[in-house]
Amino acid sequence: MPVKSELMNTKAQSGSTEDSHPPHFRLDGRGIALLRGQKQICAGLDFSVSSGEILVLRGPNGSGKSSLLRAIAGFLPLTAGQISCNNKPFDAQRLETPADSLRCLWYAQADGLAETLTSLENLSLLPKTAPKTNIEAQLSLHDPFSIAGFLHQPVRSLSTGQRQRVALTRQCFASSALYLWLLDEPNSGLDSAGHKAFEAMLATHQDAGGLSVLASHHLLDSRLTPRYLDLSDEM
Amino acid sequence: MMIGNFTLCLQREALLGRGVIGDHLGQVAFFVMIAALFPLAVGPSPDLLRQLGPSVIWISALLSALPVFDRLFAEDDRQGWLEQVSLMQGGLTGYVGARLISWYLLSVLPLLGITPVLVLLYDLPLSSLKVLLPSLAIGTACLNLLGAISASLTLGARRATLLLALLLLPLSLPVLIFGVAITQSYLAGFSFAGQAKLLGAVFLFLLAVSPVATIAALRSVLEDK
Amino acid sequence: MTGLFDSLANPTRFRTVSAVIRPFCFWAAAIFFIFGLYLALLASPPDYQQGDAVRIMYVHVPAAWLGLSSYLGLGLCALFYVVWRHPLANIAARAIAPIGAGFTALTLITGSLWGYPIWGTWWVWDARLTSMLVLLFFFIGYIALETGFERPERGARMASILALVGVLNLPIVKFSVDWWNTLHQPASILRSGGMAIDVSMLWPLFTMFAGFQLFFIWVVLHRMHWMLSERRRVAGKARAKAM
Repeated sequence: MPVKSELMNTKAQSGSTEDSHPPHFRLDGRGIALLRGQKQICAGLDFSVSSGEILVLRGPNGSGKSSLLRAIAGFLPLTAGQISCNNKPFDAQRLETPADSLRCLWYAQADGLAETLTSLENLSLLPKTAPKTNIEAQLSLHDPFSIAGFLHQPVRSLSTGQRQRVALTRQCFASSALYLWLLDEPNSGLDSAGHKAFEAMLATHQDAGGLSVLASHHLLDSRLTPRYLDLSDEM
Repeated sequence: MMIGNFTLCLQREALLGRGVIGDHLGQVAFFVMIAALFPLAVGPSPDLLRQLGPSVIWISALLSALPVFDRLFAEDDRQGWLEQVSLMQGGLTGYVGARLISWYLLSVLPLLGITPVLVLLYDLPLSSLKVLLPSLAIGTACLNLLGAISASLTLGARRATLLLALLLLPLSLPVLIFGVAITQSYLAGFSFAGQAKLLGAVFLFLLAVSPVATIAALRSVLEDK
Repeated sequence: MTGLFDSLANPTRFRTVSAVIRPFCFWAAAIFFIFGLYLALLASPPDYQQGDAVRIMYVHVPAAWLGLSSYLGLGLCALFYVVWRHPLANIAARAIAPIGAGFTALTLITGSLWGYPIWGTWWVWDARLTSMLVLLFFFIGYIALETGFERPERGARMASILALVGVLNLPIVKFSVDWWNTLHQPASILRSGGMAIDVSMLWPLFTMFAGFQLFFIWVVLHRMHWMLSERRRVAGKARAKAM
């Protein structure tokens, strides 16, 4: 059974009356076409994900899962179509985010960890997280990916699997209704314990009302009620 | 003023600074070595060296900065930090601002520290330091702003270091011309106020243009990954 | 205005329009050149100071103007590409760059040839020649950046940003070179712009000017046409392979 963790739930971040009125978001993509270089990745693609939902992108390598995630994150411009949030145009890259609008959190193999810093120092570099000591305290209470053992080692000395677990732990600190998680192959290379921990983390985020879009080759636990989007059909 | 992630990025720069100080010390060593080449090539005649002094110091400052600029954004790009920071409040602006400030402090302070040694090597009066040091400080700031543009444009290019130098040198001519002129005017006994104002104007111009171009180039990098 | 550019953005329409303009440019350029060369070499008077060497001016000055204006044209194409991602803008920029660089190099060579009989040296660091040299570096930097990436689109985008930065910096660089020149060499040397140009010299100058300009347009359109054909050929091959 996926384990919930109240400790990681950063409800305090929103500041507003989130407990009584959690914000509801609906992210829609209509008629999306993407170009990578000269190659048309997809055309006329539609998708939708709302608060508390998990959308899983499936398809063979090269079908455009990463490209779509990058397009939602605003890294890759759309050749055609529009992405809107609550019927307003959605721009993940805008500089100012009002307190109650949707933010993105990105995960990919290039995870943004600074290799010369320790895991703990990296985790402290999150927006609005508590300073270092609080992270250690939080992790001593709940360490879903068991990273306590190498918290003080520089990231470059970690194995790929250990590094992945540190990067995924970072996601736990942004689990709230205000966040859209964009995850590119987050669970490839995890062992079964890691897999369970990942699904638990996803469940926590879902229960908090957050949105998730992930690209994965693995099937998720059906108790999470994920929706699937197969990109190989879209071309 | 973009608060957003600016403090966070500064924090990160502070944490990372320990590791990169070696690069900047190497830059300073290179600075001294280039300046030492000239007398070996043109002969040790004191009059000639005194004439060349300000120019050599400025050229050495310019050339020694070139080999390390490609390290400005490369690590963060490779590690995926650009993606992370662009999604935060403040986006790439806070990141570029923090990066440039930390790079500037790490590069200019050792440079200014070693300049008195070069002044002695070229038998220039020590009083010229009161003009040379501030002008080098502003000049280095200008070069860093130009370096940010060049580094972000050449991220991931084949032969990036060479390309960076090719782009940076023509753009840095005004900085070189006005910067050297300040010290030369001072040594000749003329007023250097006009030259100083020109250098200041170039700095303000680059302060406006460089972040815009750098951020545009970094967004372009994100598009391709 | 944007409607006009949108309609030209269509490569096929561009090809039909340019197919009409190109021959016109070629023949007009040829006429202007023949007439201009006649005026320049035969019909115009030699300079009282410089003698016949002044005739180089009829190539040097238009070439200088074309070098500079082609860089500005490059900047304009870059603007269209960066802001509107206009597909032909990049093709135009890639077509212009080596031609502009060539004209700038021609300016330097003719400047050198002009200077030698007058001053006895092959190069003088006067303001105009030095500025043109720096402009050549700007062009070389652009071309190097454009071709310096594995992915051509990346090169196109980065080079466009560089061109915009370059256009903004160019007045400053020009100003600093002029300033430097007055500081170190008060006696101006190749004052081709400053010297009083007699009316009899203006006609050959303008004629050569027009000839060069039309030739430039012809070459650029020709190159764009060739690039578009290449792209279609490569795309066709890729499609054939996929099938």
